[in-house]
Amino acid sequence: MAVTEVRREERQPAEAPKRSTLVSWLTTTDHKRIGILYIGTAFFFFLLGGLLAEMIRTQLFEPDNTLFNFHRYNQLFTIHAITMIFLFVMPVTVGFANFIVVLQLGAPDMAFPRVNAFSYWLFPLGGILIWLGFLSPNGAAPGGWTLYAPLNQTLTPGSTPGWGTDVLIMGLLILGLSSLLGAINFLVTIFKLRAPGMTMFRLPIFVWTFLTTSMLLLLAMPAFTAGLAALFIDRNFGGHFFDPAAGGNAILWQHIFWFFGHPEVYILILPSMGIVSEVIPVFSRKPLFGYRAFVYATLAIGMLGFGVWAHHMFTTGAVYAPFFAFLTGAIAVPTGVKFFNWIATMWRGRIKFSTAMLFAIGFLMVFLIGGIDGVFVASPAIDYHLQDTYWIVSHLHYVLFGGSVFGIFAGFYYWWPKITGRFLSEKLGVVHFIFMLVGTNLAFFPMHISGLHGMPRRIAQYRELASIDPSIVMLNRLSTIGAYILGVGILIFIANALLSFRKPRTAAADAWGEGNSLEWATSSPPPPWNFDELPPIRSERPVFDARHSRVQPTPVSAEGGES
Amino acid sequence: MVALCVVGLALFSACAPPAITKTGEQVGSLYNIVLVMATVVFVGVEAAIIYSAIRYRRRHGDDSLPEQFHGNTRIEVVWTVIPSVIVMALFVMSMKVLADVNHEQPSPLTVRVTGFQWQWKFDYFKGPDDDHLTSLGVSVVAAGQTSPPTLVLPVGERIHFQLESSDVIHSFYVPAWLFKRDVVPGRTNTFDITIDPTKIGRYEGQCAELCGDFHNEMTFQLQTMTSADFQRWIADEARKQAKLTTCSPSGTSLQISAQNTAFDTRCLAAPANQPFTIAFVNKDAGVPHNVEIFTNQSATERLGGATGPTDLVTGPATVTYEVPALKPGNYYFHCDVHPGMNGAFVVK
Repeated sequence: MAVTEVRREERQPAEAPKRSTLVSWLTTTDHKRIGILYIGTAFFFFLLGGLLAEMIRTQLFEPDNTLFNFHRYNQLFTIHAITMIFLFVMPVTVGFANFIVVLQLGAPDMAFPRVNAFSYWLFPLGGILIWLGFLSPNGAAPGGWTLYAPLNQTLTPGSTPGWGTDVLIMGLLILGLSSLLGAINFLVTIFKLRAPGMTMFRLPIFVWTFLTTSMLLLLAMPAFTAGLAALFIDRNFGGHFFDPAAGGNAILWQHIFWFFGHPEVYILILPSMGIVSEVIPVFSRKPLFGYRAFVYATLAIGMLGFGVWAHHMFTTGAVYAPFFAFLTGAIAVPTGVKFFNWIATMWRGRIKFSTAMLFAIGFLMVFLIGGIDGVFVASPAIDYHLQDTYWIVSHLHYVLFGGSVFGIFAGFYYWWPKITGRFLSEKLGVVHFIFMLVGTNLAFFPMHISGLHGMPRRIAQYRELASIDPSIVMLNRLSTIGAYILGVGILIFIANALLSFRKPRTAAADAWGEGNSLEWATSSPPPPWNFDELPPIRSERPVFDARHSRVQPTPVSAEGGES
Repeated sequence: MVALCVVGLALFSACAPPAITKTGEQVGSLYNIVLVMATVVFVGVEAAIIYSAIRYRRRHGDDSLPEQFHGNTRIEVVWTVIPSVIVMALFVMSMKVLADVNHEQPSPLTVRVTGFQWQWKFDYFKGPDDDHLTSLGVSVVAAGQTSPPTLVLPVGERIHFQLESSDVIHSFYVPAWLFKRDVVPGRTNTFDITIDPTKIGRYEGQCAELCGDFHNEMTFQLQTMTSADFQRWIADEARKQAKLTTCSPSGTSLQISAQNTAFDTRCLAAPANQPFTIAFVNKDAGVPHNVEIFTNQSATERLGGATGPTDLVTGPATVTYEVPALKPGNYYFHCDVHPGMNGAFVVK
């Protein structure tokens, strides 16, 4: 509290140095502005990555389309994946965390505000570096986002010639540094800057999921960084880490990559699970069912996430499948627990279908398919058939699009009034949601079937396959139409966002009138110093407690209302 | 009703496709068992989501606060234990099928599959195990990049496979087997397969691991036939290939060219005990090739030509290799980058 008071006096308008808006944004160390910068930049990259997705789907509309040549097509799906994972989902959740986690802790800023600004500025630098690859004479990196060796250390034409792959590796190293610094910053902030009364088991679930995400980053990212450096040396300085012809090991890359890559999946999905766990209780007017179980499930997913990496490598024949199959099956249990907790939270609630809540319910409905898919491929014998087919493409998009992206849009609608002081249109929001729900299932469900019938991923043409199984063409066309519907949905969201800025700032501190956590205890948008005063923190719902202080004693009868 | 139809339709088309091997059928049944369990869980959970969302929707102007319950230990234990039991049951079933799929035992016929950018080579051997193989003198390789090779296999007998790569990682995938196995440089992966005696026909195969620009053209055909037909085929093929790989020297200036990732000849000949030259024309723009001579197919002991996998010519270009005098004998040459480009080297 003392800290907030001092800052508040420092920032009195009369004393503030005069700076242009642009300079103040470029030099800001305010976690809220950095959060907005993260979200804005990430959304820009989301549009670029989405454009690549539409190009990929357009190519696959015909089985022998020559719109893009093979080399260009390989670049499209490589950079699409890299952009969506490293330049959209990760940074946009970091953006939300920057803005929201600090407020939810009741803190004035991150523990290291300048490091925070540095972490942000590394992100566009890495992103631009990766996209610069398209200017290389050989184009951007064509070797898949998994960067498998020895393909990605082979510079001959047809493999990964030119510097497109080199700037990708450099960009990923920079983004890795950004993530590591950010993870340390968040851990210190969460452990050390909690407001008085905010014990660990009163932390909002979004903070818990981001705490777990930060731990995963801290443990997984160094392995990836070392692997990338080794790959860069192999490519440019005659190294042989992954070159079997010179005593290296091609499988070693996959171990390093997936030791990072599998926890990365949880880095991408846990924050969205956190967002959904904020939205559902608020719009159901109930506390999250089984708070502690939910926290333990999050930590269990995080820990088990480090023991399942080789389930991406069953078909290499180089791993002990039973061990990894067992742990992969085990990870379904805490995920299942979360589903039941979310449903039990809605049970006997008073559910309001705000757009944020629709996206949260959409997350449950769609991510469920991605989760169940995981149980199929946890069985190595089934995985032998499905690995590297469109079935896997379907599975991963149900997890990352139906899961992560739906959660992120729930976050957009839920926190937009807190961040901007304005509401997004609920009417456009519902239209946006319908386009997303229909588009997601139309784009990604048919891939299950085309993959099951043997269509490999990462191919620009599928003539032979289409000639023996003509239904594959129809399935691909459905996917393409679904992808276009998703594109329209995103345009509706952009229109909604732009239109909101023409409305007045009407959001109250507790914008939805039923917020639980501390971000709703300060004005919308919050002042630079965050809080003038904090409510007492006696549970994981301090704002709820303050609002309902008159109806304290628990079983609350139906006539209890809000002021 | 509509929902039920949609689920039923999705389920029907989402069943595992028919397999032509016994282990493939086991994988297919396992997939279908998981599919049924998954559908039950899916329908149950989706119904619970939709029911609770609609049943407990907020009426207009309802400001009441519902009962604030925070949890229930008994029900939480129940919904932790039930998924655990399901997952354990699936794990046990999976391990049983996995053991059958990965089971290997001595087989009379061994096929060595070599993957390279961007084609396949199939060599046929007989022998009791991996260490005692005798070549059957048959090597199937594509005529060029866009004409996939045909893998011919007998039905009803156990066939052993060895997978090797000479460049990057590929994956040997026959969808009709519901099976694939990666083809990894520096590593020999093995597996066995038995094709159902009634499944005589043509099937498709394809590389399933991204391996560069022409990954999607790295396909092959699978032709299955009865044991008797197969024996006839392999005898014919061995005779034909033996003929192809005999030729006689006509001077000390040899010529060979490469186009569309294939040599223009499968046999080169040079006179014994005299130095000679090989003029090599690489017509493939942007693709590296070379010509290296070895004592035999194992390509371990070099006799002449290119000095190794780093001594390459990227087309279009011509190079002339000077080779010292060789003793009479039947040797072997190939392109270090594309082992499917090979042939006999006769010195007499």
